[in-house]
Amino acid sequence: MNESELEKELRALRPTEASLDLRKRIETDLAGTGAEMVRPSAADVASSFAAGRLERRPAVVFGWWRNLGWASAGAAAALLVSAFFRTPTSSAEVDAPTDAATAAVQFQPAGSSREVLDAQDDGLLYDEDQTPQRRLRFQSLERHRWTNSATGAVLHFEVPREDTVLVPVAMQ
Amino acid sequence: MPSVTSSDTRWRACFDELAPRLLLFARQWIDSVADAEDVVQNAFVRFWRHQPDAAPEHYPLLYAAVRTAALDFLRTQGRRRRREEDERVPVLRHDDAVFDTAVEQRELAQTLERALERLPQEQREVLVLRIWGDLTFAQIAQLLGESINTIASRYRYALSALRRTMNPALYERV
Repeated sequence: MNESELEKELRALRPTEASLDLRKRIETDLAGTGAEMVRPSAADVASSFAAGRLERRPAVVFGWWRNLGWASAGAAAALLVSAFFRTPTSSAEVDAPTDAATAAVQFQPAGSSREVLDAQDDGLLYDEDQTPQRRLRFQSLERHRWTNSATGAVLHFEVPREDTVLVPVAMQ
Repeated sequence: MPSVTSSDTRWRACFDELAPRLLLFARQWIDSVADAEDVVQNAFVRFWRHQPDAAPEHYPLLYAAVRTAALDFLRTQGRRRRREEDERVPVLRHDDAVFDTAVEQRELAQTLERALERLPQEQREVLVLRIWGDLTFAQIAQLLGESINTIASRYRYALSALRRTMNPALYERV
């Protein structure tokens, strides 16, 4: 790409120097972690990985969070259903469990949706293999509908969830 | 296994080469020089603790680390501002000069700083990384999680806006 006059003029401007104090502070911080400075090199880690001595953890953990989301949804549904059929008096509680359990079983998932409310890019992080990864976070709201075919009752409930996605970055 | 000495030499060389650029990059978001230096310090130390054997080809990651630290800083500041009900929006805004300039360049530098302030954040970020960070479009795209075409477009828009703002008579052609 041909560089324009403007680009040349911009490049000719040099950013201001960092202060000596910044250098000293970094020097102090890095000097205090001598043990960390002699950890295996990236090349060593890479060769170990290639030789099968290291196992790279899955970079994308979305599935785990998704499972957690559905587990949470199921747990919330169970609680809601049990609360729905729970009678307020203690005397009724003694007689009700069988009927409530039966009715709860009759509730079946009838539909769900998910609305993404917000997405955030947290930037780069390093995993335990020192591999840079981009961390993305999604906040969303799941809406579920369960129906009871025997009684026609419909149960709506919402589950907020947050998913964290780690995407490996290969910087050249 | 790298020695402490070689790591020490590497980070010092890296600091000498990149510190002014990283500081400039951080100051896109952070108006205070002192706060920007704090951000660069956090990012730089974190980077070298993670990558004691880092080579120049890894240096683009430093910009990513600075960006992350700057955004974290802004989030913290944002929460503080909300608590204080201060509605300031962080932009490239500062009292200290951004560029080291000779006398004859001072006017250009000041004009440029004002022009940079008016650029949209996403364009300014690309421009700074390309011009003063000396990164390729591919590296910037990787760093920002965007396509190369998007990055190239932002760069072109940024240059066009600067041309119009800085000296429309001199830079008539886009």
